[in-house]
Amino acid sequence: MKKTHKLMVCVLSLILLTACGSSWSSGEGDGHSSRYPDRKDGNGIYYWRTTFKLDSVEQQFLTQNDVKRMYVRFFDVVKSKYDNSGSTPNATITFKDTVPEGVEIVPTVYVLNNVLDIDKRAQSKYTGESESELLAENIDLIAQKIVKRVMLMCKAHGINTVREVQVDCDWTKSTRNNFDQLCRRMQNALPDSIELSATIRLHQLRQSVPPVGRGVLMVYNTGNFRNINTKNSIIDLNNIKPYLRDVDYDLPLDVAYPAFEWSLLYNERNEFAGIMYNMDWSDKKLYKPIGPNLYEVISRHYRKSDEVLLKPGYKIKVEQSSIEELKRVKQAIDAAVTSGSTILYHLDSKNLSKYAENEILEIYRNSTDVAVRY
Amino acid sequence: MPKMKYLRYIVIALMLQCAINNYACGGPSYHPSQTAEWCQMYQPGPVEVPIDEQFSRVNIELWKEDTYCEYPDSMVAELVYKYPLSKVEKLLKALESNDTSGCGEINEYVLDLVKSRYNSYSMLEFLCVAKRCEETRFKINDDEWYYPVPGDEYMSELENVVATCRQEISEGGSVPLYRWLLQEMRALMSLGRYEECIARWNELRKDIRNNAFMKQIELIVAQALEHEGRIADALVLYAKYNEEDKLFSLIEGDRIDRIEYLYGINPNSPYFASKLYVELTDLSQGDNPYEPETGQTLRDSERLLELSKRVIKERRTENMGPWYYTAATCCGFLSRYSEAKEFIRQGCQKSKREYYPYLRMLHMYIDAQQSGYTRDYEQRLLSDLQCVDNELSGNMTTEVKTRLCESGYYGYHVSASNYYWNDAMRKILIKYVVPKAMSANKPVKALQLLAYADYRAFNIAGLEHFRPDYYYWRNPIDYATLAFECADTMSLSSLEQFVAELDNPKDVMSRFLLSRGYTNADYWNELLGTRYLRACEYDKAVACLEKVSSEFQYTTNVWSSGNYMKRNPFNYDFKSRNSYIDDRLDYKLRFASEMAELTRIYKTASDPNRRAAAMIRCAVGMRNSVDFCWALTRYEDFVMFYPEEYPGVEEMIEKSEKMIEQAFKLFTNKEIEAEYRYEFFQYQYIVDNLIQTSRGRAVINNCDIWRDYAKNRYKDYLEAMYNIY
Repeated sequence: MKKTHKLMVCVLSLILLTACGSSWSSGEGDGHSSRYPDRKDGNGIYYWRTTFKLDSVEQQFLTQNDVKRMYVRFFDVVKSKYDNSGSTPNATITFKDTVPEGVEIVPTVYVLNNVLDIDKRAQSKYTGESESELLAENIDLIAQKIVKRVMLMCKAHGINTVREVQVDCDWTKSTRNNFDQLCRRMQNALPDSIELSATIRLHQLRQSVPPVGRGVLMVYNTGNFRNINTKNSIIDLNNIKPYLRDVDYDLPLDVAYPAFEWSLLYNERNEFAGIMYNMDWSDKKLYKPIGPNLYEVISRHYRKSDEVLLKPGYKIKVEQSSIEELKRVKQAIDAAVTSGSTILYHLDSKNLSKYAENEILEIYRNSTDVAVRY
Repeated sequence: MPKMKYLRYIVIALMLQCAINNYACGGPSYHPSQTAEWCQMYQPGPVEVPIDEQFSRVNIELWKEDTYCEYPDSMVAELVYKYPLSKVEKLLKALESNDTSGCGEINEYVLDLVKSRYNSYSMLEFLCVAKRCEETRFKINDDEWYYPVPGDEYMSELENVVATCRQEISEGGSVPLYRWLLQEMRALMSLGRYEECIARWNELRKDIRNNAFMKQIELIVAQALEHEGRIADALVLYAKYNEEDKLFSLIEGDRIDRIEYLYGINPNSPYFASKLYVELTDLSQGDNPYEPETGQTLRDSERLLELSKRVIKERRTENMGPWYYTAATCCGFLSRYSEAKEFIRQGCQKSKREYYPYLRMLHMYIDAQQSGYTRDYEQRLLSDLQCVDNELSGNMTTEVKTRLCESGYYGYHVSASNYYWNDAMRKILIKYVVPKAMSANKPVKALQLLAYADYRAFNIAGLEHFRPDYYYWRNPIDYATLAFECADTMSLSSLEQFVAELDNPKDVMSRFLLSRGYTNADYWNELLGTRYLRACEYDKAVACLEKVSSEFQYTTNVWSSGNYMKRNPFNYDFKSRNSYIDDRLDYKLRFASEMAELTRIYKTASDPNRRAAAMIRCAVGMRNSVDFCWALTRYEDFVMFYPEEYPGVEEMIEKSEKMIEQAFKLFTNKEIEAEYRYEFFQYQYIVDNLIQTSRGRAVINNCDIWRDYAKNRYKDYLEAMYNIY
């Protein structure tokens, strides 16, 4: 019965998508035209771990949920340790598996905001060049290096069907121009067949649109996780609502929703002490529940996976993105922006196992429904 | 209790101060809290970390062996480490053609190698491969943005290296296997082929000579294992070579967990002593006083104690000293003193000989915390001190002496901590033993202990007369110690008794302390004499000060800093401050003698006018001795002297004024009285009552400024004091 239901959903989705020929993402007249307007037809998922290795549950997840695109974080770009004005790749992903067939890989690069925070004033005094010249030179160099490395990585691991590269950056008003410059340079450096996309954080909706073909609106990490009193820092409609008022965003957007759980650690003074994943609460000698989703550490122990030392008196707050909250947020997003496909953050069997199959489908299905509307 | 170390110290230091001190002295500006840095207290014995023979040096030796020749190391090193690949390739061609003309400048060793040696070609061929491998790896590491793609320039080069090495190994040429294998391993690591790296090692390890290359190769294997997630296996290899940083970054948990893990895989690691030292030092500082009490220190002490007990019980380690030391110290933290002493007793029997004195020092520490100052305790303390004293003198090297002189601006406390045996002994005595001796009403013994604690190292080093370069005119040793502070502030009778016992110790402990502590008679007599001057006991002061040599006087702070010892103590004019005497030698003695004589006169002379004059001069001397001639009764330090801040000064001035008033009442000769009143600016009195005297007429005729008639000009000493400087 379940299988039949799923099949029906898939088929229906497919029919609806095919019927919905006109693209929301054609970017007509706005200067932000996507090269692949028909690409809204499939579900997406982020892969954010440092080792690319899929277990059977994860492989099954991709198949069962008709995941068409996987946004794989290739590496981060951080400030160079040796050269303050330079940058360097960090935490490069190691491929232990080949990428699954039939899934489009979107190489994603996370650029730290401070990489773009380049103070050229001091430098220009020495070189005599203008600030803008130096900036352009530096950003151009970073863009070229990122693109070259991404392409090399694709080549090394047989990722041949790349149509999109994504840059993820929590840029702010002060670094917006540099980020725009980076996007333009990256797009120039990429082959014509590859489109550049960017993640868009909620606060960035109020800024000008970056010069990319499309964007992914990130609807997670919406609260302050450092504060133990935050209700839910992963996703909370109350935190999101203010950003969605009168949004007029001129860029085709896919939307990324959280599908994960984390445990936030606070010391005895309720100061944030770390993030932990995949906790096992069964050991009564280690933890005791002291409230809804709240535990207290009762024995000192070390968690290797999170590299955290837990001491008695520390508190742990468990946060997750509940299906109910996701639905509410989704409704609000749909009402506020023209959203395309749905992407989940992120692929991890331990996280995803906390959701029932139909719940995952429900999150994805809505996107198809939305696509139909446009 | 190990918690709140500083608070505890401050409390104890205050107790010490209260016990010995009724008022602050004008001497040291140092604070006892400066001695509370227990940085070297917990040293669980000699820390012996083996220093590996440098790989490059071993490699050079093996190169000589493999090329069958003997040349200076520098020549071999030039070829192996300095020549670029291109030059070695030229050498290889030169060897084929027997023509070195294209090789540029080459040293004798290389020339010999090219021309005649049996194994030269193979070794140079190997060197080319090794340098190619190194240069490629360097380029890869140098480019942070590089990403390896099969078939790219660097990968191909490294693939070639691997292929060449494997072929050479399989053919078994004249170049030793370990050389080829090391290069293969390095290339495989750079290619990211970790599993192959491990497999090759498993295949060939039995054929490898156990030399420095073995270590290099196994450390690469450890890295490969780490990459493959086989952390436990990697740790075994890191432990084998004591790769401390790696070990302690890979082992899970906090530092105690890591020590425990390390013990599990390498019970004889040479790092235990240093690791335990760090741990104990941290624990000794207790929980962070700025954070709420968490009890973490006690829990960690328990954990470390349990681990130490396990190690002691299992007997897998050869070096038990640090573990007994740790067990005993943790027991001390937990206030389980009897258990601590038992560990010390066992440790003394079962540890290596060099740990014995450290354990004795610890015993002294534990015992001092636990015991009151009783006769039994004193006997145990003496026994510990004798052992520690031997170490103190036995380890006194030139380097230690230099360190003891490094006090500089900060004075004695800093340099005293520069030598473990001195630092630990001194702190135990100051922090625990002396306050307990005071509490047990043994102030003399307390001062004897301080005189030992503060000065013993300097006595052994022959540094009693040392002066730091920065402030050569200061005496940071004599007047910047707790012994001085104690002597300067304790009751006069106790100090008298202490000085009396200097040559006549009353018991074994005193004999021990006085035979090794600071017993410079000049110093103590000068100090006691000064205390007598402060107490106006001039006859006794004379008796003491007569014994002080002139040489010693030259070493005091006040002697060398300005004209303080030239100020005229019998000057009436407190405004001008310009009255100086010619000679400052025996300044205190001469003052004491005159004051003694004046006292005798005003008490016994029959002529009232003579008695009155002596009484006035004596009163002026008394006042001046605590006022602008303060050098008579106090010791100058790095601070300005403000008499109002010192107890006793105002009382002395009051007493002086009363004496003067009393003296004026004794005069029967109006002419003499008028002269003295004139000295005290009592113009109004002279005009009103002594106008008939010659001085009275002079005042009428000459003094026409109203200020001259002010009544209390004499009392205006504070204003005068501020004008001194």
